[in-house]
Amino acid sequence: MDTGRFAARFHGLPVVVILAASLAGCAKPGLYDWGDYEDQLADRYAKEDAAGSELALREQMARYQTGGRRAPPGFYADYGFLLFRRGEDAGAIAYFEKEKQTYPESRALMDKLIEKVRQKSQPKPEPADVPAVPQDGKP
Amino acid sequence: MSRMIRLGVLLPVMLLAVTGCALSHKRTDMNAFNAHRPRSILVVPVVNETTELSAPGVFMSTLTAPLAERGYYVFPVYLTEMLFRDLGLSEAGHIHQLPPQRFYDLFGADAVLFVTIKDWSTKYIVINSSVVVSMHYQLKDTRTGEVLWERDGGAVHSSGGAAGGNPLAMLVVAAVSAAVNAVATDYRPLARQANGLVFLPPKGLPAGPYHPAYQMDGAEFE
Repeated sequence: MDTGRFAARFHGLPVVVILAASLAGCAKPGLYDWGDYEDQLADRYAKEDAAGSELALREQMARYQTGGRRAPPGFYADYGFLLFRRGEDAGAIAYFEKEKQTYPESRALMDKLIEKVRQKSQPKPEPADVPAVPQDGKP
Repeated sequence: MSRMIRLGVLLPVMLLAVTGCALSHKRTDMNAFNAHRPRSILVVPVVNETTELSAPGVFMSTLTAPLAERGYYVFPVYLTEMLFRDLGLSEAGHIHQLPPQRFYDLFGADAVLFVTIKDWSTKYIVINSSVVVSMHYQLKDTRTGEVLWERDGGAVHSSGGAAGGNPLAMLVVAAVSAAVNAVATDYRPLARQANGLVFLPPKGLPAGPYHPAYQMDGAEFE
């Protein structure tokens, strides 16, 4: 084989590989559909106001339920927490359960949160050994 | 002529081989990580060593997606912060001082990620400006307290052609400059860039349980 031609052909290979790699990088869909999660999270930090992000969360939820990609970690828990702060205890529990089913890694925390919501719903004087959830649940 | 071309081909290959050796040399770095293989990561509030008060919130909003996309369960960061507050822990500095086992007791997390923001600023030098974000990342096992992974990360955007002809750097500059040139500096593209780099191979976190490459990408990491 003509070494010169071979070398010249080989020479172009790295460029092709780099191009292919960068294209693949662009096209990669990722594991989750994040929607505008980052924007509304930034808003929550900046304004300490979760209500503004509720509509966005609901729209995202509709996409997950109509056969889109899996909801990202923490999504259902976040939504459940939003409901809890508004005093919708049954809804909060349902979404904490959904987080637990979707991501078993969240089981310990979700169980504690569910327990906390239940204690609040049926007030019994029980010493809490679970991490408390903010008490300013009502808007 | 053909010899010159051959040298042109061989030299990069040799360089690659040499750097390859240098990289594999440090593989022991991941021993602790590989021994514990966390499934879930609790991101606790970040310590802010800068004077920019908005930095922690902005930074936190960019951290969940890249970590979760590596395949880990990431606890919801805002909910986490509210729970700490309710426990009387509203200072990130105090949270970083807790014994790591507390994060297992409270959240059931396998690992906890501590981030310290070192720099978050826009610097002006004559007519050029550069926007800088710089962070220290440390991941600890919650059961043993062992450090599983630790990195410094950051990103810089300079106005005025500081990319110096490096095509990749120029691409990054082009992508970031639109946001940075806005009236109020938007640090999020830089924070995203820094997080994107720090969690990916070869220095990042091996794929977690929700990633298709879980337990198959060991060779990619130092």
